[in-house]
Amino acid sequence: MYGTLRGALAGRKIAFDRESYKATVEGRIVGIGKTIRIWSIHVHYDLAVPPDAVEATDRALAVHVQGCPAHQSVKDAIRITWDATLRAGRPYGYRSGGGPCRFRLGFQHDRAEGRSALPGRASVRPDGRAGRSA
Amino acid sequence: MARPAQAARTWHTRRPRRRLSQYQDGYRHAYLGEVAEPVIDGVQGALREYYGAKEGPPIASTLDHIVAAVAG
Repeated sequence: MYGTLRGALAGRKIAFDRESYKATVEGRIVGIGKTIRIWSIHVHYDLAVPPDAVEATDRALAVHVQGCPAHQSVKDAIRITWDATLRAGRPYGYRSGGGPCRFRLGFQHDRAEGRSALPGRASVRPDGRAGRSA
Repeated sequence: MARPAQAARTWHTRRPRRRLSQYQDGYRHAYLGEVAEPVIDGVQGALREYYGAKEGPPIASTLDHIVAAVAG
């Protein structure tokens, strides 16, 4: 989803800030029967774009999951949602390239619902310098 | 082959190959396609407790990889 949205933005010539472009994902894993499964995945995007690109960015956000192979592959088995913090202000330069995507993952045990629930978080960044998180 | 305009229509692309999975040091090493380095599935955090795994370095689990792959 992160990569697909990046492509959708680039394809629309939207000069988003590639350094601050980030996705944070939370996967909820629950106990089912004698095993566990991924119940849901929520993706949060942080995105900064020029003011005149807000509408185009909204359109890219609205359609990006339709073009995401990973989303299309698992959407019928896993509930996938997303939201975005869209910052529009100063103009951002358009730079190509970028390092490999890194992510952070961590699990916490949640006994509040009386079942095994293990939310995980991943932070996907283009700068390749992410560290581990709790 | 041109990609159909309608998303509902199916079309075929290359078949992803998982060449080999094997266990080393208690962790599964999956060699994917032509990539030389394996993807390692292990346990970390609460999953270590859930599976009753012995102490060791935190290694992302299969479910970790699925979550990250969908978001990535």
